[in-house]
Amino acid sequence: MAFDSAVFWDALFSRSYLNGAFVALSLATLVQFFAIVIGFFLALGRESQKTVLRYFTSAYVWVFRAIPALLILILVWNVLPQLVPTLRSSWFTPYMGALVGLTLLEAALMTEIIRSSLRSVDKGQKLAGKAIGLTPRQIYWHVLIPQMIRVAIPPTGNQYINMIKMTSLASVISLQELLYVAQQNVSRTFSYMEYYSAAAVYYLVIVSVLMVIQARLEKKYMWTSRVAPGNFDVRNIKTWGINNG
Amino acid sequence: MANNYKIETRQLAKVYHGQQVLKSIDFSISPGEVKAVLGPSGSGKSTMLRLMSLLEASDGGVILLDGKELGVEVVNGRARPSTEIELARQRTRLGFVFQSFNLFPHMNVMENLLLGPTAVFRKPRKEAQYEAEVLLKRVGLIDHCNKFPSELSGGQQQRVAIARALIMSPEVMFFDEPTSALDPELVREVLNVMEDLADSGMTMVVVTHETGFAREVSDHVVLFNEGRIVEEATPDNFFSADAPLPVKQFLQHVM
Repeated sequence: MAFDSAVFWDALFSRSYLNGAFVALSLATLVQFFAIVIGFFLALGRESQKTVLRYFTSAYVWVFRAIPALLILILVWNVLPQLVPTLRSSWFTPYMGALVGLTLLEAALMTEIIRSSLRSVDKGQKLAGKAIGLTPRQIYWHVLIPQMIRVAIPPTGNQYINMIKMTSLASVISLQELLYVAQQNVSRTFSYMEYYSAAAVYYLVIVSVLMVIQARLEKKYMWTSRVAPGNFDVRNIKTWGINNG
Repeated sequence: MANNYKIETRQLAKVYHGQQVLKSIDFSISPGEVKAVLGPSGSGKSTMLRLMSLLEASDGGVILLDGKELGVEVVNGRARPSTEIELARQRTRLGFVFQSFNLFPHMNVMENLLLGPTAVFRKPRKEAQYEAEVLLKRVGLIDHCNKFPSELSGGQQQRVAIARALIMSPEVMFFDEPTSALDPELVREVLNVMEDLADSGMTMVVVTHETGFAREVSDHVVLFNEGRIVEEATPDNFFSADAPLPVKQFLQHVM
């Protein structure tokens, strides 16, 4: 079977592919965002002095690390609405289902990443924050989180890229993301190579852009004056983290 | 109760893992006084410093600043333990310099100094920056204000750390072995800053192994052993030939 490049190019620039790519990218981005926020608080729970909190968060991480993503998606989409009647309404779209399911899973994975990055910050940093009179919340905001981010960027970038690819699993709950669109075209025409390679190109482009962003972020967190955007006038020092006052 | 001590502890105690590392410490220091605290490692001197500066909670005893108990709030005539936020407020009156500097590695020198005044006191940036510049000149590091801690020597980092503590206008400065992590040739520049600070009238408690500093700069020398204060004397007496036996034994080890 010859490669029909016209079909390939048509697919590549088709509206449905572009939509599918947008669905994949936006879904992965939202999932990653919520997973970081939820994961942060779960990580605090994992490190908490309160036994109940520790057990609850550990159990959460244990459950959602163990269950395969595909199974979580099916449970959220097919089983959850039977238990929670409000989910039977029209707003609970495949997109919402995928968002909920993948966030539940990703939050568990981010919890472990965030917990280990928090642990990696030197104990003296918290003491130094205390010593100048920062409140516990200020210590987290100004001292611990910025240092934690540097450690968390590479594994979080990995997770995000993985999540872009994992959105394709949501085709099983009929989410019209990239792979779903490709599959539909294939089942109509049996032009496997053209439609699937067009989808692969999208994934390649998206992931490449993300890798560039990650590299830039890592550079920003190098903490030397050579890459800092400031110059030698004190008044122009680029600041971050302490302008919420 | 009225006395003129700047800061004072009574029967201060601390237990770690079932072991009593501080046993009923009565320690006091007058305004403008400099006290050097010596003692073998593990004798409890650093622990006392952390308790007095409210970095750690004690397991007994009281700490008084200007005769008023720290870590306790009196509301409607009733005393209750201070909350974390109230403790943070009290800590601004007490400066602390760590053995390992503990500068914020993600901020340059200027930002390290500005964080306290802008976040805690909500001072305008301009005003805080002016104060920071004055202090950085005083410790001789104004030319390095855009550098990050990783780009400075240990001695420079420690001088930044001293400036970072001073910008909060503390009433007492605590130094926890400030030169122990430094290469020998960098010790002097830090001691110079500390001497300058002592001359300016700052009340200082200095845990140190630098017997030279204790002899020349401090007003009193305190010797710790096994969680207790075993001797307190003026430097002249402490380092004299007829000092008590525990002092002589300790000095033989370190000198």
